[in-house]
Amino acid sequence: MRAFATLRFAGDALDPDEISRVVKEQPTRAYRKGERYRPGPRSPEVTGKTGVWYFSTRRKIQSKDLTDHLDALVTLIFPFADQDRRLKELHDIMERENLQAHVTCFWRGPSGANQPSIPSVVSGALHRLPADIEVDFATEDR
Amino acid sequence: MARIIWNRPENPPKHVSDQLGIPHWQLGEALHEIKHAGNLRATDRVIICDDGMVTDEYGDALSNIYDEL
Repeated sequence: MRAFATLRFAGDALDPDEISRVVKEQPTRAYRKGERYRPGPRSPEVTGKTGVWYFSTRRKIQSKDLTDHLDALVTLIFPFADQDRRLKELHDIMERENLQAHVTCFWRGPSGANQPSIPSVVSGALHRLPADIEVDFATEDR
Repeated sequence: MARIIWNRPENPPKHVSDQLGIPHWQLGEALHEIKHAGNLRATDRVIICDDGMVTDEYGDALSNIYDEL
């Protein structure tokens, strides 16, 4: 069984350093619109079509429980005892720079396994950003 | 010359991962990362070549599957 979750902010005016400063976390990948970057040694140089700040829990959280991965993303936006200050700061940046936020959930399980569900407290918190949530769930039965 | 082995929006089936020589779950993980780091949605069509290169539907490079394993 495999699970992870991702959070990304995207928009033409996105400044990756600004998002990193606010969430106090380095992204898995980030680039500005028009920036040329190389995703890896076997990849060619790629030009960012828009600005992206992308964080994946795949190599950060070992758990097979999707909720643990989503909790890590929620903590980036709502740190403990923060009284929504970080949420407000992110919301202000998103409005000012016309950014969108997206959360994705990846899960693969054995044939016949029950697919996970997203806790309502998590979806409620992410919608406050606002971030949409996209799921990629499948069982390995092909 | 690399050959196209997948050119559809949905998750590629096992014969695609077999051609790349990797487990199916590993292809799923790598493709999920590539699509979303490239600001695509899960339902967006991508093109996968037998050398691992992934491009968007316009042929613009996103990443290589082997860089995401």
